Amino acid sequence: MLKENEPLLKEPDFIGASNLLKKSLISGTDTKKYLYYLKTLFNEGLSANVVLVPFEAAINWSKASSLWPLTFGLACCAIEMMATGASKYDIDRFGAGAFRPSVRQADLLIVAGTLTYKMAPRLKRLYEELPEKKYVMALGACTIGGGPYSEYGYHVVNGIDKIIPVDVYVPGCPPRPEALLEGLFKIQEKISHEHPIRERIKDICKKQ
Amino acid sequence: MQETINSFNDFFNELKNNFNINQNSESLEATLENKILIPKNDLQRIVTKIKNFGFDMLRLISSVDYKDHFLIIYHFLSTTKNISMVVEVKLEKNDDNPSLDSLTPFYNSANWLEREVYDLMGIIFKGHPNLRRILLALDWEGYPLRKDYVMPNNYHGITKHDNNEQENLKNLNN
Repeated sequence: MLKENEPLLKEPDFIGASNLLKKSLISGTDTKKYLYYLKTLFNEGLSANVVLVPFEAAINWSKASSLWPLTFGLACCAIEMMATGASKYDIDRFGAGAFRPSVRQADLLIVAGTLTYKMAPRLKRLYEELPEKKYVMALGACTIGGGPYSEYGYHVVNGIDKIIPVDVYVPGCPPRPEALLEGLFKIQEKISHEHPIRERIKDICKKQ
Repeated sequence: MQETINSFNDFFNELKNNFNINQNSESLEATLENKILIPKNDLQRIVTKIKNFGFDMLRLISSVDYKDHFLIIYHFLSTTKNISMVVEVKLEKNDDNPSLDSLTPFYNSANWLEREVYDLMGIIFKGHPNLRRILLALDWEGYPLRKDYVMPNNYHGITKHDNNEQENLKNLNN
C-alpha cells in the first residue's frame, strides 16, 4: 500500500547505486555485486521506455496515422464525409481529421460525389497538383462506375478511374461512415506494405 | 384581400379585351393558378402591363417539348399584393431554331432563367446580354432535354459506355 505523499512510480535510484559501487571500488569488496545491481537497475528502469522497431515500419506507421484529406465533396457523399468528421463517427481518432482546403498540404484525395464532364478537367488538375506520395479514395457508387446515372445520365462520367488512378473503392449509395473508415483502414494497410528506404536507395543507385 | 382580388379581376378583363388570350390551356403545369396562353408577338406588351400592375418578381421559366411545338411557361409573383400568375407561350417547330424575345429588360432574374432554358432546351432569346451555357460544360453539343436528343458516347476522350465491356468480362474468367 502506498504511504502518504509517496509517488506511484518511483524512479530507479541510479545515484544511490552508483555511490554504492564507488564505495565498493574504494574498499575493494563486493564490486561485482554492486555492478550487477547497477546494470539491472539500468535495464529495468529503461525497459519500459525503449522500443525496438524496424525503421521502415516506424515511417509507415507515422505516415498512415496522419493522413490529411483534401475536402473534395461534390454531391451527397460529401454529407457522409462530414458525418465521419463529426463527433459520432470521429475520423480524427485515426489521425485523418485535419481536412485541408489547399491541395498542396494534403496527401489523401477523397472524391465524394458524382463526377460530371464539366468537373473532370478540374479533378485531373487537382490530382496532378497533389504532392507525392498521394492516395485516392473513390467514395460512393457514382465514383466507382457512374452509380444510378451510369446508363442515362448524359453529363456523368462513369467512374473516376477513367481520369485518375484510384487506390481504394468504397461502395454504397451513400456508404455509411463506418464504410468510409474501413476504406481508410485499407489505405493504412496499403501504406504499411511500402518500403520507403529501399526505394530511396534504388533512386540513389540509379542516379549513380 | 378582396381589394386585391377586385383589382386583379379588373386587370385581367383589360388584358382579355385588348389581346387574344386563351384561358383553356392544355398543359398540366400550374393548374391551380391564373394561367393564360398568349401569342408569341404580344409577349413584350403584355409583360409591360403585368409589370405595371405590380408583379415584381419573375419566379420561374420552364419549357416543355411536345412533339410538334414547344411551350414556354413564365411564373410571375407580386410580393406586395400576394398574387401569382402564369403566362404561357407556344413556339412552333420550324426549320430554324425556336426563338423568343428576352425578358431581361423587365426582370433581372430572367438572365439566368433564360440561360438555363437555352442550355437544356435550345431556345434562343433575342436581346439577352449573355446567352451561353450555365449548367453543362461550355463546349457541349446538343440540347439534352429535347425528346429527340441522342447521348454522345465520347467527350474529349472520356467514353461513356464501353462497347467492348461484355467481351472483356468474358475474357476475365479465362
